[in-house]
This record gives sequence, structure tokens and C-alpha cells, in this order.
Amino acid sequence: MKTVFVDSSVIFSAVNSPTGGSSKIFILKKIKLITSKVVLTETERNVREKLHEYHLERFFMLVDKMEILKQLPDNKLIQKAKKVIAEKDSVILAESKKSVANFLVTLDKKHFLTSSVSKFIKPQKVLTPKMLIEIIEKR
Amino acid sequence: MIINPLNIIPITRARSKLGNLAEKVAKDKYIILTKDGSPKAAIVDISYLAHLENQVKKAYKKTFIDPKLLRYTREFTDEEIKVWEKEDAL
Repeated sequence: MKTVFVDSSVIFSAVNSPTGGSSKIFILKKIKLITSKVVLTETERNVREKLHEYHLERFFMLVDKMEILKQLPDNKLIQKAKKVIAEKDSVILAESKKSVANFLVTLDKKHFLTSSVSKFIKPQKVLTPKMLIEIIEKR
Repeated sequence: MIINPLNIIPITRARSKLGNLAEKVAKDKYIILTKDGSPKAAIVDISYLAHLENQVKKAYKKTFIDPKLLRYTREFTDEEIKVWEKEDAL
């Protein structure tokens, strides 16, 4: 079974809309969704600040469908990540690399779907939810 | 507590023996008062009510935010949320 590291843009969007690709990956079979404590801290912070109270219940429901890694941010890895991605995204990139998942799923195509990120995170692959759905449904 | 006919009383009947009923409630043993056959109110042990309120507060306090990790996080901009919404559409 393939493991998928879910970033905060995807969890936030799944909370925000039940009909998008981000929500759909939570019902896909044959994959294991994983995330980290930093990602959950960032997502919940933004759900509380940007969305409504009922969204928080949906956030908790979606978190129940993921495995939460016990890993803590690796400052050395974050510094390395800063060399290939905007500083604002370096923590998430480092977290995903540390997770040793098969895929990193994100909605930030502009910053994550680049050749330098791809090289940094290898053998892990960066995908959007839509790309992940296509791959899984083809199998 | 299992709801059974013994702890369901019409309000009209309860009025005259409110003192006795208040003595009967303890911990999770409460009495349901009905009006026109439907549950309307309950007589509940005050400490049990406080316990329930605390449980509700705890449930709402559920959080995955780790204060030590907040420095690694950022606030999303409205602009990027809109971009994500567009990208997320199937």
C-alpha cells in the first residue's frame, strides 16, 4: 500500500469543500494517508482563523482518517529545503521528506511542482490531489 | 441511565411532589418530565449536570494545535486559498 503525506493546503481544502479532489482522496482505497503534528497545527490554526466553527468538526473527522507521525521539525532539513523552495514552504517540504512517504500531495503547484523540489524529495513524488486520484483509479 | 416508565412523569403529576422527586435524583439517575406525552424537561442531580457541562467543554477544547510548533506554521492568505479552491475542483 502506498503512503501519501498530506500537506496543510490539502487538509484545509478538504475541510473547506466536501466536493473537491482534496476531499476525495480521503475516501480512496489502497492508499494510506499520513501527516505530521506541524501540518495539523498549521491547518487547525487556519481553520479556526479563516473558516466557521462547523468546519472544525469536519477537520477532526478528517484527521481521524490519517496516521499522525510523531516526528518533530528537523531544523537542518528545513535549512536544506530552503535552498529549493520558498521559505514559507520549507517546513512542509522537510516534513514530507522526513516522513519517507511515497507521495507528497499538495495544492501548491507553483512552489512544489518544480524540478528542484522533485530532485530534493526523490524518490518521493509530488502530486496534486487530482493527479493522485488519476494514478490510484487507473490501477 | 436507561429511560423507563419509572423515571418519566407528566409535569402535571410532578408539580405536587417536586420535593420528593428532587430527593430521588442522584448521579446519573434523573427524572424526565413530559408535557402532552412528550419529554419537556428533566430533574437532574446538580453535580451530574456540572459533570456533563465539563465533559462538553472538554470535547470542544479538543485540539491538534501544539503551541511549541506554532512558530513553524503560517497564516494562509485569502489569495492562496482561492488558488487552492480552483486547483481542487474536479
